[in-house]
Amino acid sequence: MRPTSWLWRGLGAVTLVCLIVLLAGFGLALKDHWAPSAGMAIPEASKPPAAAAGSLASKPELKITALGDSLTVGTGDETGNGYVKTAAADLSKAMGKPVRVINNLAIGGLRADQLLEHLDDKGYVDAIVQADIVMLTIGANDLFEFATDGGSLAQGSEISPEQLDSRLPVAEKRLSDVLAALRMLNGAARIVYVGLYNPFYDVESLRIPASDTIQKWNAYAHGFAAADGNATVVPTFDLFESDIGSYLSSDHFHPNEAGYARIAARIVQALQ
Amino acid sequence: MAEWLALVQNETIKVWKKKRFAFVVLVLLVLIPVFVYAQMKIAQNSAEKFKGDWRAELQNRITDNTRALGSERIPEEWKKWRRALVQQLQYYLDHDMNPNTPNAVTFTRGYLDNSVTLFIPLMVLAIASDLVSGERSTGTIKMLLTRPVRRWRILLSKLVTLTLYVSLIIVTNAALCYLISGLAFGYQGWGEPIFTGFRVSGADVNVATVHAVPQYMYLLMQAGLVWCSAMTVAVLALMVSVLVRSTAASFVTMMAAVIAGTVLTNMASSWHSAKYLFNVNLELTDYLQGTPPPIEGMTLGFSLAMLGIWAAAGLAVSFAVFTKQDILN
Amino acid sequence: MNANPIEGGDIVLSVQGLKKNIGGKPIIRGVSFDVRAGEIFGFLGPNGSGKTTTIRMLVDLIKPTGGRVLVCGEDVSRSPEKALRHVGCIVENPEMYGYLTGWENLEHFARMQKGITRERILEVAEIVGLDKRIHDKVKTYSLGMRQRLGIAQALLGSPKLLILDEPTNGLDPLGIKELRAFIRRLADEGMSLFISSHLLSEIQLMCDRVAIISHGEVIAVGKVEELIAHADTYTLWLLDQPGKGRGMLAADPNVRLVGEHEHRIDDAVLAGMKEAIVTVMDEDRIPGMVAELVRAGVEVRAVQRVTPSLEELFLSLTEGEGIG
Repeated sequence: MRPTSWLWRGLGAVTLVCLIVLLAGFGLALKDHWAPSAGMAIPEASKPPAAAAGSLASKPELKITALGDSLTVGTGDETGNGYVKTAAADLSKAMGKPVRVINNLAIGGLRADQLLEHLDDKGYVDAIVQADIVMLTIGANDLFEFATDGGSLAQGSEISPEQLDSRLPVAEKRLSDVLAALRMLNGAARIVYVGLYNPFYDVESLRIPASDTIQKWNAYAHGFAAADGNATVVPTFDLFESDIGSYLSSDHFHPNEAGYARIAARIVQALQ
Repeated sequence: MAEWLALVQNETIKVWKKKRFAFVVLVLLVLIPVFVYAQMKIAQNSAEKFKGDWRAELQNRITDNTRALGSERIPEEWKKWRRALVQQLQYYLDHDMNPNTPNAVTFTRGYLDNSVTLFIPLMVLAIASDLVSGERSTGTIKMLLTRPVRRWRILLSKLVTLTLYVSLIIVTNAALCYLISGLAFGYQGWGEPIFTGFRVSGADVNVATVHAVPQYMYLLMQAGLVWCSAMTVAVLALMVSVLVRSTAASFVTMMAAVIAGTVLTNMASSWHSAKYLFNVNLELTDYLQGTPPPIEGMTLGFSLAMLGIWAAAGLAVSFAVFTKQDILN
Repeated sequence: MNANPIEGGDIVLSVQGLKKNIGGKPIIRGVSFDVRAGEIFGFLGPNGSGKTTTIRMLVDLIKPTGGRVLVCGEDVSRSPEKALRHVGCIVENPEMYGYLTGWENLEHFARMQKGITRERILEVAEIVGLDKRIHDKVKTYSLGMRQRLGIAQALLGSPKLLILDEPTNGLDPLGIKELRAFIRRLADEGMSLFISSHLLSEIQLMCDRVAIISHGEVIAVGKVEELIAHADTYTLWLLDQPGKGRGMLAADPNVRLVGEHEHRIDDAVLAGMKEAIVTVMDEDRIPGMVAELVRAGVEVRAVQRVTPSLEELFLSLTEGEGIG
């Protein structure tokens, strides 16, 4: 028999089968797009493991979930570590056991009311439920927005200390809602709230009025933590006062690498 | 019919004996392991980071994309795209379904998504660009066209052969990809559920029509759509091959068109009439996956119609020119 | 060439008023001729005269602007699938698929026509003497072998008309000789052959009838000998006393002496005969002239008749003498 004739029979048959399969696939895709059938049942989800109760010292491994705004993202830190990774590493060294960041879910520019909405998201719930430690920064954007009445600094909006002070209660309400929601999700986790500092410390006109408001805010957070019993407010107000220039990044707003390292060090001290 | 089949037989054997398909397989055997290795590295990294917790990984992707939305340096078009992606990922997370279970079927699915714009057209061109211009540059066309067969029949037999080889190439791609990646990721995963039916309009994703299908069915639909865009490329390449005497020129022309398409797609251009170009419409699998189209207003129906019109025009030109053309040298 | 039985035979190929414009310029201005069954028909013209374009129109590679080509009564342009069934051809070089074997090439072209059996493929391979190398890849073939494979391909469908375009191109003298014998054999079996060439001598050796084309027009069609008779045939004299001999030849009123720069005899023909005296005279006057010269004590070393070159033939044909 001639070899080319066998070649043709084989090739012809195989390619024809390929063509038919692909045409069927194409037809199926069209049908699925315009006339989808009910679809298959999705298997039941398995629940993520909840965090165990007990003191941090008694657990073999610590899991951290970080939430909040640009400070928790680590904006301004050129190494990209921020305070979360640094604190986790330092804590692991200090306590002599593995410390893992489950997830850092912080988003730059986030306000407390937005965070509260996110706390319904499944991804947030999963991460918070498992955590032994929840670290967060929130509120700065709320206050800032009130201070500028919704405008942005870049567009020339003036910061008005009076405005800021008058709307402080609204922001405080948001903070307490967030913290309460966190506690609802995870009864056992240690909540670490990183307090606010005054980024306008070197601006003469803002030093006193802004500092006043921020002090009030931090005091409010402190009061909430004291009531909770398993929450800590890490003060940062005093951290940058003496030499603000060398701890803030070029945007004069967020800390730089050294600044975040100082925050992380305080967190570790507070947790031990 | 028998006579006509004999013509297809001729063309099929010529392509085979020219070792065009062998070349395609060789390229795949070299490149797929490279892709698999790269994917393995990525998988290892994230396994280290998330300790196998896919929910955390997925949430991290969502957060990453949400963070990018806040950046002012990112163009508005890309933000739309990310916003839609975030909604889609959130849908998976809300339904507690892993869109990327680590196995060979998932890898093959991803491979087909990524190769539809460039890699598969490239392999199709390796065969299509040579089909007519090859006969002209070697002079064999003079023998071919002086036989007692009408010219349109000869071109039709070439078109049928091309269709068969395009099918073979796509199935070979999927099969080799599955076989090779299975070594690294395991051969299971055919029955895993996957969502399809996301409708994207602007930055919003409509989830009303979303439903789950088993992965094997998804793969089949995907391959069918890849076939459709590959056929459009093939038909247009056949046209260029009829018009251009040299195989190299014909290949370069088509390759340039295909690459221009991916460039335009990536620019997420605000040039809206670009959506009428064939090369921007090749990513049919995106509609299945539910990622936003490169230009607003594009839908599966629109893209299919565009590809259909381009292919029909390509065929019309091919046949008109081929049957009337003078063979001068 | 014996008296031909072809006179009045069936017309296999009929070319009628063929015209072709390319890019608005007339390349072929009107070509007509008939080829009869069993004859070897020459198609003579210098390069660039429109030979190749005409041949391509005969086999449907180029569509004519005007006129028509009939093969066994079928219009090549309108129903190529019927007309080309009777035609085998090699246009220019015999280009086959180099990546296929000779056998696969023959199979390929056999599939394009109904009723060609495996036995027929074997047969044509044997006819052209390729049976030993038929299963080798064509890219390993020499030019001569490719030529043979091309002819085998052309013969596959047992055509009534075989068209060969400059078939002796690239062949060595032995190959040319073999080809001539082969062509004659095919014609004897009743096939018509259409052979193009730019060499008159080749046409003269092979063909029964010839059409001469120049600047896209056929300027003459007829039997080869008749056409050649229209041009001067030279008689060359090589004598031991050229001076005396020249005087005697010049004295004869029936002999015309041709000056050194007036004739167009190929240099290759004259090589080694520098002293030759070129004349134009009747063939039957040669013996008398020889006797006369010998009587006068002039030794005759050689007498040679030289047919005119194609160029010369053209000149004589276009000088208005016209051919019937």
